[in-house]
Amino acid sequence: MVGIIGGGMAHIRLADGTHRFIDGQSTVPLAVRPDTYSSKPGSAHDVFDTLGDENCVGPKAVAVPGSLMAWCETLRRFGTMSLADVMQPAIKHAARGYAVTPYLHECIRESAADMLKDKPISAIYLPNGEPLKIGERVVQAEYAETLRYIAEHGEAAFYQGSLGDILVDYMEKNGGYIRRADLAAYKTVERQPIRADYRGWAILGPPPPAASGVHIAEMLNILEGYDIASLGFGTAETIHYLAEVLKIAFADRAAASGDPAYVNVPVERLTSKAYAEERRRAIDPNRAQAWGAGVAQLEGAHTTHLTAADAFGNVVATTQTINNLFGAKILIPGLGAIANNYMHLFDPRPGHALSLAAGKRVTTSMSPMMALRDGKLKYALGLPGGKRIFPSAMQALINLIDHGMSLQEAVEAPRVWTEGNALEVELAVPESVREKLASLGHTVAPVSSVAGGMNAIQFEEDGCMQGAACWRVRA
Amino acid sequence: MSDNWRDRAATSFECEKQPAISSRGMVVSNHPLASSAGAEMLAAGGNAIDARSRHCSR
Repeated sequence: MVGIIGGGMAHIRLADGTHRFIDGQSTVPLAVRPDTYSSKPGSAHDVFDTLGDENCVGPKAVAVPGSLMAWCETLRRFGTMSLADVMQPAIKHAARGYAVTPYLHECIRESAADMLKDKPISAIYLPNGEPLKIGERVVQAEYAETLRYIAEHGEAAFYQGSLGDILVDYMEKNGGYIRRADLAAYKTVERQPIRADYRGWAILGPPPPAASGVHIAEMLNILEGYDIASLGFGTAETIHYLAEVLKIAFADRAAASGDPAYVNVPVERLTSKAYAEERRRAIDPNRAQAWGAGVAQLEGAHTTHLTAADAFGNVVATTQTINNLFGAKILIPGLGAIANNYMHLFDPRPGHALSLAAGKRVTTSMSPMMALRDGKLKYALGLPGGKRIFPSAMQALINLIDHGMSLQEAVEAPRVWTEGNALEVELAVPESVREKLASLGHTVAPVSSVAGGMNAIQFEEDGCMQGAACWRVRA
Repeated sequence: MSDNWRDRAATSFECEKQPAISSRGMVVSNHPLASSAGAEMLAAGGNAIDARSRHCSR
């Protein structure tokens, strides 16, 4: 889900061959301290739940939005059309409404308990207390007015103007932390991609505060030492190696990922071939292991992806979100916009890489990736799915590069995922393979899907483009 | 070793969707309205940055 009170990032390749990331991630409001929330007693180290779910549902869960500024700046710098022109389709769909898809109906049903606590959001999605049915229309008249005002006055209407006042008034009256100073201080950041060289391909992904680029590079570097093509797709051997590198990556991510303005992320070491060699030597082909971080511990999904390319050679892969489905489950009256719940991505316990600090940016798994061969762009891809995003993007790259799958096969292929506990495998992985994985020591958990719908573009030598989207999120 | 990955695979699957082919531009997303909004910008003479700047509400 996407909205003006959200965050995201765009990977842009311009016609001149340069790459850049526009980081429009949300930030921690200035009033928030490392101990503002109270961790739920007994939470595991990687579970960020708090008493009263304050960092997850309601006004206190909302981080400073960055998406609108990033969209407007990117359009001004690299686009050709006016803000008013590109916003017309969104204004039209908000004002006239669009039909509820089976997926959206399911999303409303799942979030209904929290959404019903907020009258403005339930008035739209749960009229009479019941989720909108498939085929009924979602009409967001107030949001359409907000979008029209932005189309006319630009993002300043929100970051410096009357629309921002509406958000800040709401936060002051309802116990939220965002103030005028937060909106006035918000800035996007332009960043350079993390590059991995994998079997003669250049893989470009997002740098910190995103965790994805660094850890995709790390995992590919380790996997380069195995003949994945011969081991075969979806075999116990290949899935075993995938599981081991995923656990290694998540152990390192927990120790050393975050906003580079606040924590010193050891990017060079994590993405080096030497470090991959060291980690690979410790992998046992016949036994699943528990992994700790290989770098020093640092001290203190539901998303939407779109891939676009034009005839001039410009390509954009962008992932945007309000974090969870329906964000903080509140709709801001007067704006008609749903607010993010990005605060849930920070560790409520002080002293860790992901702990809270005023102004700190969200660490994300978003993976708008591009893959080049001999300097030419061949693939651009991305997907939603929280902590399952970058492992899934990595598997798509393996599908394309090692297994030689078609683009459509690569985005739809069954996935696996683990961060150290159970090994999730999609149902298409047969019983015989699951049994073999269990015998290697993996706790196998069959799941209907790992992460969300990937979409991707393949660029052919003759200038043709192939676009593929996947079954996982049915539109 | 054959060129077909399926000869070495232990997990099989069939694709549910079809890819799209184009020569002048492409917009792929998980909702047809988002893809068509982007395609509308390309058709109006915009570039890929214009096509991604549609502000969808979901």
